[in-house]
Amino acid sequence: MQFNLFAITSAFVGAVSFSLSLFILANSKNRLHRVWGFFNLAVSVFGLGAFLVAISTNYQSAFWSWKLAFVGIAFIASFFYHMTHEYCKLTNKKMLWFVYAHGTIFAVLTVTTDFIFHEMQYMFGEFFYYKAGLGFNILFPVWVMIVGKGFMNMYSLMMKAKGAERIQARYLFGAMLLGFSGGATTSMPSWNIPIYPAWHIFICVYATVCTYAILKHRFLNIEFVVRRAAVYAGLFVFVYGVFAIFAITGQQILRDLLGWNEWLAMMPPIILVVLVVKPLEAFLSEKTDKFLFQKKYNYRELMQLFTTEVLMIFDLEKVTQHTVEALDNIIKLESCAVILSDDEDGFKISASRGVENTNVTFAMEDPIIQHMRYSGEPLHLDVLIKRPGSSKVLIDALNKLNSRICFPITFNKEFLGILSLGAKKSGEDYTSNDIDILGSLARAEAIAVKNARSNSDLVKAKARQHLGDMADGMSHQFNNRFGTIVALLGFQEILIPEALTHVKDVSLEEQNKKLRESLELALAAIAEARDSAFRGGEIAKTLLVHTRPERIGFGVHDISKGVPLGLNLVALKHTDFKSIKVVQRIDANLPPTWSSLSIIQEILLITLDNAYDAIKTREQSQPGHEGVIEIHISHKPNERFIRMVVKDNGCGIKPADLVTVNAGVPYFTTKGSASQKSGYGAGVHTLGEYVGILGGRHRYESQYGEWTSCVIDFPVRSKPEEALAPAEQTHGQNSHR
Amino acid sequence: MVKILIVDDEPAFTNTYVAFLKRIKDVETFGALNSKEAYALLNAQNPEVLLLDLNLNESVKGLDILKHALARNPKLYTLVTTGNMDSKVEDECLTAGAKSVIHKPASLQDLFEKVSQAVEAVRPSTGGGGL
Repeated sequence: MQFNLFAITSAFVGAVSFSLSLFILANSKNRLHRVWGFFNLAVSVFGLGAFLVAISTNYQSAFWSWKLAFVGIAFIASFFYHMTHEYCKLTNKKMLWFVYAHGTIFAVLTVTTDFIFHEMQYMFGEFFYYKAGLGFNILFPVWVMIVGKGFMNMYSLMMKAKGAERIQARYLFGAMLLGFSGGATTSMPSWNIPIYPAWHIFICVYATVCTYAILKHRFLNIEFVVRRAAVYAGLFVFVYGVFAIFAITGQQILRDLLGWNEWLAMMPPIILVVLVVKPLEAFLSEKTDKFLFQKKYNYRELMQLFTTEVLMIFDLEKVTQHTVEALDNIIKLESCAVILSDDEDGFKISASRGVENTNVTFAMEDPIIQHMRYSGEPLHLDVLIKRPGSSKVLIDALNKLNSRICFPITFNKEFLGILSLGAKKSGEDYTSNDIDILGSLARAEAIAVKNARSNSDLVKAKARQHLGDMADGMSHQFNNRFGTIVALLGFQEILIPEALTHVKDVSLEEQNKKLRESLELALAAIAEARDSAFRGGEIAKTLLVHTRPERIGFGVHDISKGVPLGLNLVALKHTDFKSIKVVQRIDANLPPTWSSLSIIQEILLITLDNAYDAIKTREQSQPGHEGVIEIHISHKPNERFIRMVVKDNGCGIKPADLVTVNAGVPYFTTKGSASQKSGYGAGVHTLGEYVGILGGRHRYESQYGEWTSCVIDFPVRSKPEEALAPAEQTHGQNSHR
Repeated sequence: MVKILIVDDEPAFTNTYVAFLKRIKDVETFGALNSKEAYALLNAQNPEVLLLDLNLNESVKGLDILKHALARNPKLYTLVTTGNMDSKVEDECLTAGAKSVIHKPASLQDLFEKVSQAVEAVRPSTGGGGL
């Protein structure tokens, strides 16, 4: 046996082609796949024969090895033509009969006669090479013509095809041309043309290009076959290999320790292997299907996901992220993305997995947006490719998203975006059942997106409303400070020159007295001005804390931390709030809960603001009444909620009004004074909305003329899905201002 | 002698203006820090000019005092001061009978001139004051 470059390249050609043929034949779905598999098998037979020729050291061995190689060569043209015949969907059966007859005759004559070649010569100082016989010189030109006709078929298809199909045809045409060009050079030495027969290595390149096209461009729609087989084979070899090592080790132990002879020691491992191989195969098959290529996902699980999780999330980013992750985990997708409209940039990817270019954007005018917006129907890549006249732009858009199917996300005819799903890892197509259920999910996604956007708008609107409400107070606060400074310093500007003027005409003692008085007044004015400026700064700081954007975010918080901020805000709004005694009773070790401190702060602002008004109202009718507000936050070990009670000793709520207040009627106000701003009672409704966002519940209790309590329960939770049941209505003497 | 009532919840502001506006000839000035004091002085002193802050940080608003004071004395010359920039507020005050709205912070000179004009308008005989 001898190794040389011809042997190595031939071994590669044989091994690569054989592997490819095995994968394709083992998992073929149609005739095209099978013919392609046989084509590769024929190439591998040629590779094997050439390898045996290259390592042969004697004439006879090389001679029969060439005959084996020629059997492969004979059928390469036949299978190649048949493959193009299937690929191009040709109907001419006569040509098929002809090419197979040619291949059969070529092979039979090669094996049974010396008509194709009958002698060899030692070439390149390495191996015996056949000399072209009469039969070869007759049949090989026909072989070349058959191959040429196959290429013509492919070229014709390539020119007619569009979109992805054209890309696939180009790959196949280019790869085949490369492979055949390389392979054909191996015939040259047979005519004494001294070209070293190593260029058939290009056949390996052909196989590599085809594999790349299969995976990247869904060549022949069998990418899952190759991938699935590769994953399965890899796992099987690994697990079985480990198992085999244990078996061999066991065999050695039996032989060495028990003294069994080699054949006897082999029996237990063989029996074990035979018993285990089928269950192991079944186990691996099930596991690879379940965890890598989940075939049948659970519709119920999907629906439950959207009704109990996605729809309950009010943060848009989390909605889309959760959607993508959940769909990917349940269906096992190559890629998944949610594309949403953006005011500034058109449509862009909000969340994705497995999408290569996450910066893809679409304008409103883009065909994919227009199509989905107006048709309201999903776009299925497989359907588009197969349908004659499909828009290449649409196919390209889907390819940009690595998408196999896209669903419109539409809410009440309002087009919000696209739900894009890539190929399933199982390789299975999307069935009509899949499309139905995923279409429903896209509609649920639209509700979730709309909810999240509305909530975001609501939070912003409420924040703006409160800021607007506070703006009056803020403006008053700032301008009072500045007004005071202007008045104090302005007056000093007048007084000091006057003092200096007057002291000229009086005695020294009188001068000292007047100057001292003047300086004392000036010092007092400066101190007032300094205090005013300082208070202005404190107001500005509190306002900044209130409006700092990061405070809007949700997270696991100790809600009692919102109390100081709420108190600061209400004190800013009402400068005489300090006249009211505030008693805080906050339990130690309150459990942290999923909430937003910003919203907690708003809730406290509303409740404290109402408490302030109630106390002030009572003060009008009862001069000298001392206002007290109690803030009590508690949690009992076995309860699922944290309770916050804000109680004031203000005017209370009439029983009839309390029913309306607890019913959460929007814009209801118990304030009768014409001097009050209209719609102030909307704060109570807003409170309900804020509490609802946090998954809590609230109610008012009151004794008219004596007190009012706002009782708010916040759920103890680490995630947003757990909300409390609505508060039970209490019947008693309740009221609200 | 023209009586001027200054109503503002900011003591430094009120005290300064009580002292400063005395410089107008033949005037007497009074200061109130809340509605209660304002009502009391309106009744007790019967002022001819009212310099009223609109936001007193209490449940009784400046507008309530304005309406009450004008109902009691329709000839009362009322100047409203406010830190609020909302034009609706200004319209409400003027509709209620205020003669002018002064936005805070105002310069002493501006305020002095406006109050002086008010004093001249209500003074039975001609005369004036100056800084």
